[in-house]
Amino acid sequence: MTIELKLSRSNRVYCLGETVEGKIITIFASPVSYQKIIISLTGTVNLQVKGGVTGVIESLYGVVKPICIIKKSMELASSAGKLGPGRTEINFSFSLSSEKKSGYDMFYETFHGGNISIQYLISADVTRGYLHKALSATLELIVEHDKASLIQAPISPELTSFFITQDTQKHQLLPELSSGRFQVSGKIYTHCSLSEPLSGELIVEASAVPIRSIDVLLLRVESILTGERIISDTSVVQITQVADGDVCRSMTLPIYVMLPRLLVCPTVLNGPFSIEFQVSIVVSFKSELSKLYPKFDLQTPRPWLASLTLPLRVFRTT
Amino acid sequence: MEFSRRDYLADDSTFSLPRTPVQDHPLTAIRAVTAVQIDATRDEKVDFEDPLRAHVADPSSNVQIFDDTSRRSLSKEVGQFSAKEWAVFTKALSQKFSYSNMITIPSAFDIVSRNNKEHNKSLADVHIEELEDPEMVIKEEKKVITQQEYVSRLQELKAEIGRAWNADDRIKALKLSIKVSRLLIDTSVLQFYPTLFLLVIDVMDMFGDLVWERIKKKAEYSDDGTFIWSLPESFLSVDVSSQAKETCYNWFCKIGSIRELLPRIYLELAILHCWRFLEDHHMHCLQRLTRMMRGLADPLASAYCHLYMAHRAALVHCKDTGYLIMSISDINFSLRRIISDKEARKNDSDRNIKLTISLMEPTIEWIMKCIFMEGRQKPNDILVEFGFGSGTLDSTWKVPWTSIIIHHLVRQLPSKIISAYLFEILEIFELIKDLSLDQHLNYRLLGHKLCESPPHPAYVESILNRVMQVISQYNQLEEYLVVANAYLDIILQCSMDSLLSSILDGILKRAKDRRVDEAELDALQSILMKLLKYFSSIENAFASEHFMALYELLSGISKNVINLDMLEKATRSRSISDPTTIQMLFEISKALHDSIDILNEDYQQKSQLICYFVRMVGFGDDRGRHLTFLATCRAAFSNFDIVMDTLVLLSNNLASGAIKGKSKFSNFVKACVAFSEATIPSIPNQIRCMKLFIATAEVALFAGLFSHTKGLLNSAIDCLICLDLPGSYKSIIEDEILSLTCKMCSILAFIPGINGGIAQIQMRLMLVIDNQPWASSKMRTKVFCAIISVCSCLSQSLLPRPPKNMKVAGHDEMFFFGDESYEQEISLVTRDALQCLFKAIEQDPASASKGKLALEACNCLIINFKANHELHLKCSKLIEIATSCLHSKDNYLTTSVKFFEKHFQNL
Repeated sequence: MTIELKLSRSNRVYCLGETVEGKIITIFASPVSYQKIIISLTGTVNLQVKGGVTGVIESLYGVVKPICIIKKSMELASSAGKLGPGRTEINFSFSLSSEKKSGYDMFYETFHGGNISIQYLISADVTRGYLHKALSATLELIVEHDKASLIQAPISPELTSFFITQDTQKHQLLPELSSGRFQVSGKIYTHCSLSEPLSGELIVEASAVPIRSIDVLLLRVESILTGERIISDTSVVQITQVADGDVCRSMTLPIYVMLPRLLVCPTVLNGPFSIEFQVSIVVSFKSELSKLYPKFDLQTPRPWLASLTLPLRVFRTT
Repeated sequence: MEFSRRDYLADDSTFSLPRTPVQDHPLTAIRAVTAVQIDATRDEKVDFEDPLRAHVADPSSNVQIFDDTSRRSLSKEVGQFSAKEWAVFTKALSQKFSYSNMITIPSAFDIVSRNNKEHNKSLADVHIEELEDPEMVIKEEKKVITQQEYVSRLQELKAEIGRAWNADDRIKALKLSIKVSRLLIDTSVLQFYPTLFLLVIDVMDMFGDLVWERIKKKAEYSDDGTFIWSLPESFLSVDVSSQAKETCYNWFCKIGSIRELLPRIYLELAILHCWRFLEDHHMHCLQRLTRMMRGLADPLASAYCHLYMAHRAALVHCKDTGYLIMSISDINFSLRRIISDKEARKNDSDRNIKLTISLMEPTIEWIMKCIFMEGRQKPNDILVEFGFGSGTLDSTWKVPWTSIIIHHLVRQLPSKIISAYLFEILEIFELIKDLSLDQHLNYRLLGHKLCESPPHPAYVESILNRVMQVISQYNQLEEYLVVANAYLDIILQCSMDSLLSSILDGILKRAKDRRVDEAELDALQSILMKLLKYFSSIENAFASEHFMALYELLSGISKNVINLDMLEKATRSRSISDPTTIQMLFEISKALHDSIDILNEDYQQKSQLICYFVRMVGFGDDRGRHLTFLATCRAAFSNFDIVMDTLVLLSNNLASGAIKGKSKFSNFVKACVAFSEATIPSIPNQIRCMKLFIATAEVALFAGLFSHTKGLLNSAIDCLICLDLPGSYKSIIEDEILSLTCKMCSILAFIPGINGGIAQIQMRLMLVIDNQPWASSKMRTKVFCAIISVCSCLSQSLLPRPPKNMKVAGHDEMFFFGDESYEQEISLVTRDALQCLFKAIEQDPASASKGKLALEACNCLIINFKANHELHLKCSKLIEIATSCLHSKDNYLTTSVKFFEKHFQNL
């Protein structure tokens, strides 16, 4: 006895305002009688506060109450009936629209983060009376902003220049790094469209100590309002190496980072939570000291690392 | 049995063809006519179409095709062409840098461990795993495995990727591919890198093709698996369904999320052609990838990465070569860094640097090739991008050249273009002196290019002067030789004698007081060959001091080669009579002869050349000196049978010349005959000996040296005794022996009987043939017939006269006729011959050939003997044999029977 959901688009991506079409497929060995067949859509923001970041009290709560974005359901068969043996397909369609009247005025794109996840689920339920277990299937829908709303806010690309030198670092550097000069400069687009790669360039202008690697870190900053406090957590989404080894000086290296799907969404700033992104450029130098730390992350300031973090505004364009 | 009487004079006049004297040689006229005819046919065929020239003939149509939308099909051809070339290139690469030692791999790149976890995870999980990649984990442990293990492990991995893919576990396939590509990060075992590269890109190519096929399938089939349409070969991105595009973009996202730079680039290059599903123009993408490679600090890894791009870019048919030029520019940049690093440090890694550069060289070569293959329509534009030409506005070229890069650029340049940029190239060459490639190799290359397409004559001198100025500072003989050799053709073409002599002086100065080594010998040999070609005759070469001084420097094989060349040059002249030239050439020939390893070498060419030379030598009327020369040659060239053969013929020639000369010759001819007689036995081939003995016998006969003649003929018969007839070619050799024997019999007709009988030789010949087991009945029949004929001839009262233009000395005094003992001897021989003849025919197994032999014998008997009962008896017996063997209507049989009946009608 199986029940399956299938959408008209194989990638399951739908924009706001579009009509979602699909079908429920049942495959039964023998006829099954039912009371109701219901298809429903729920969109929720799940917020979770990790223990380590917050205080003791908050950690007791664990999960903050999820925020409902959308919830609708409809009956495909309101009166009881029977589903025949073999394969049966039941078509359905509904429009994906924010229903202002029901009070959900915010709309978010699907996002799978560390503490925050925004999910849209379609579920099909076949109820079969009290004695029988209900049959159900669930499928995640990926929702994006509709194209019409995007044109209203064209954002001009913004190129930010940066310098990384021994003087821009706030943490303790290796003695040879602070005495010998190094300078990495570059520019990067800090307003970035989701459909485009994050791009920019950098130049190693000087470095007395050989460079081991230069990496671009894509960071997400998830903030949740709990009561009176805002709890923020920064985590790495993706690391992209742009230089491997002690590269030639004064050569322009491109920064080209594909933004991963689902893990990155347009920046969300207002409301009970916010999702922001940052880009961090980390230069690691060759050093004997680093060998003592077999496993280290690039976020924590270390004496052999020099870094720079810039806010990144992500938006969707057509 | 009595011989019939013959009147040879009357026979001669009856049977000779009528003759008329002519002014011209009849064959010369025919030759002239055919030559004219050939010319005419050549003129007629003007409309002949050369398939290779067809394109050049109509350039406008060519351009049109090129500009047409069908350019894709054209560029596809280019792609295919380079695929073949690529195969050749990779094969050469793996052969050039084969590596068989143990390989140390840092455990971070471990491919030996087989703990492959099952990956049934979502895309999001892949991301997280990527984050946990061991790259940041620094371990000092290393594993050592053999190359064999390495290769087999990689092959296993490749198979595993294929299996995972087929099992729809594409994430696992991707992860394994990333693992494989990571191997290229490690360049610690330098020599192994090219092999490793080829192994890894084999996996990459496979992976790329799998992805390509999958997306193509998405574009061609609908979701539920029904076929929609097949994507044309030259599809554009608009032809691709959005679903396929989506999948394709997903792949680029997946690969874009790889953390490490090198695997990310390699995998994107592997699926580079998939960009065709998304976009129609790939220039930006290729340029971005090229720039991304700048992040690879290791020069070797970076160079091979560029190479892989040049290889994969052929699949997207990008017409613009800008990205390739950028590749070259970046490689140049990193090379400069290595070189200058070295110059700063001057430490022991010098060898490693050289090795690294030599490993990088193939990548430079291939990328340059690609540049000029893609951009062969516009080499000028390419040069402008490289910073050539007065306006350097557009150039991507900003840093100084390295020697090896400019070398490969010039090498790929069409030689016609070079002359336009000659002075700029020269300027760069003069400035660059780095360890990536020796400067003289650049000059050599330029020289070769200039020979292919010589510059304007007005510039030649200034160009050569500039080159000479540079090389005059070279102290190494090899460098000097190599460059001088490259420019020699031009110098000789323009006959710049002062420059030539200063160069040759330069060589001699540098070669003074030292042995010339192997590499230098090659160049020296080539120089001497060119000079030799330049001299109008060998005498001029011998007269040139420079030439001879350079020749003295030679040794070993090179010397042999030049010796051969000199001999060849000498034999192309009409005759050689200058004593010093003869002496020189003789010494050269002798050196050649002595250098040959007679058992293991094919010396045919050399011996043939020496033969030509010996034949070419002439001393005018001084025959005595000529004979002495021949004797010297015999001593000098004893290993060459063919030379011995020639010497005998030449001495015979000398003798017959002397006979014709009418002066006192007897002693000289005797000397010649003696020379020949002594020389012939050194030739192992018995048939050849026999031929030469007979030829010499003829000469002796004409000189009236009868006892010599007899001795020589006896020697010829001795050859028959010694002859060992091999199984193969038997019939050919038999025919030769037969004709020689018959010829010998005809000579016997002119030899008078002196001490010990007239028919001694005939008798001996008969016995020898009769006793040879190899002699067939055909041979026996013919030889015995010939003996009967010669006996018949000798029994005549009037002997046949020798041909008019041949004067046999002493022939007039033939003094045997009428002598009874002679007659007795002849009839004895004849009787034996008849017996042998019948025996031979009867022994032959019955067949058509037996019949023919019988008829032949019958005819011979009828001609030579008087018609009487005895003869009738013998002949009818032969006719009987013939009738039993041959078809009754056989032509030969019927005519012979008629002849037989006519001959005996009076009986």
